[in-house]
Amino acid sequence: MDPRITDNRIRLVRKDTGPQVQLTLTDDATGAAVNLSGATATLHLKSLTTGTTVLSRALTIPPSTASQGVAVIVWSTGDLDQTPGDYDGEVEIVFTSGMRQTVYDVLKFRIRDEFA
Amino acid sequence: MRIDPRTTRIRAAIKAAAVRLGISAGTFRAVTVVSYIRFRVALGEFFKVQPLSDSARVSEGENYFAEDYVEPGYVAVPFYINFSKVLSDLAVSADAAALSLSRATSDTASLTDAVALAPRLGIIDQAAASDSGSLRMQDYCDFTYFAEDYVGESRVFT
Repeated sequence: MDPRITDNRIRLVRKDTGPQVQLTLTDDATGAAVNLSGATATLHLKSLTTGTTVLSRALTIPPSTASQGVAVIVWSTGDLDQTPGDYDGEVEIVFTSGMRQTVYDVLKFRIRDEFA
Repeated sequence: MRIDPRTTRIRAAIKAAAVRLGISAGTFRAVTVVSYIRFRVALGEFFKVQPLSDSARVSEGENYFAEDYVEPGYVAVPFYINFSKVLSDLAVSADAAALSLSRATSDTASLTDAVALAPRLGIIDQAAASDSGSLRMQDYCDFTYFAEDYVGESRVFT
């Protein structure tokens, strides 16, 4: 079977700034959206090769959909200028109350080198 | 509702601890440990990232009016700000120290005179006149006609 069918990694190309990754956060117990109003969310990207965190990117939380748990990874120039390989993405949320909660599941990324 | 296996493990651990403590396991059936957050992922372009830019322009010599609230029945006093260029000048004086080497010219006049005595003979001129000769006189013939005094008068004087 084509590994692309079973592998749920988000495939990116080095030095790109897209695609953006929209995350919809929900409470696993109730299924309700997590209210991100006033909260901050950060993606920490860790290389599986070196084990080091190579990027920390603040997520964009649109105010209009913050209550619906929507946060978007908007890559900036240079964010994906990483050594080709597999990476894990950890999403950390700090709510207005100050509570810091990290999504237990991790995002899987794979970055390949660009041709030119 | 799907129960996370981790939740199941935690509940089991709590139950085991409760049994060890002698508490009925049924006491903890309603305990909710924590609400996990999950996410759904969608890829695409959701935002156009546009840098914010703004530019304010104020030029010198122009009037900028500001609106102000005026109570009905009162006459508004126009308020404006005139931007003018502030003249300022900072005087900077700089001097570079330069060492100029030149040879001082000096001349000390020194006159010395050695006293020397030069005795010399005093000049004395004493006039002395003397005359000597012979005197011949004749009136008969030419004087050279005779070799010696023949006639006339001849004498030697000193």
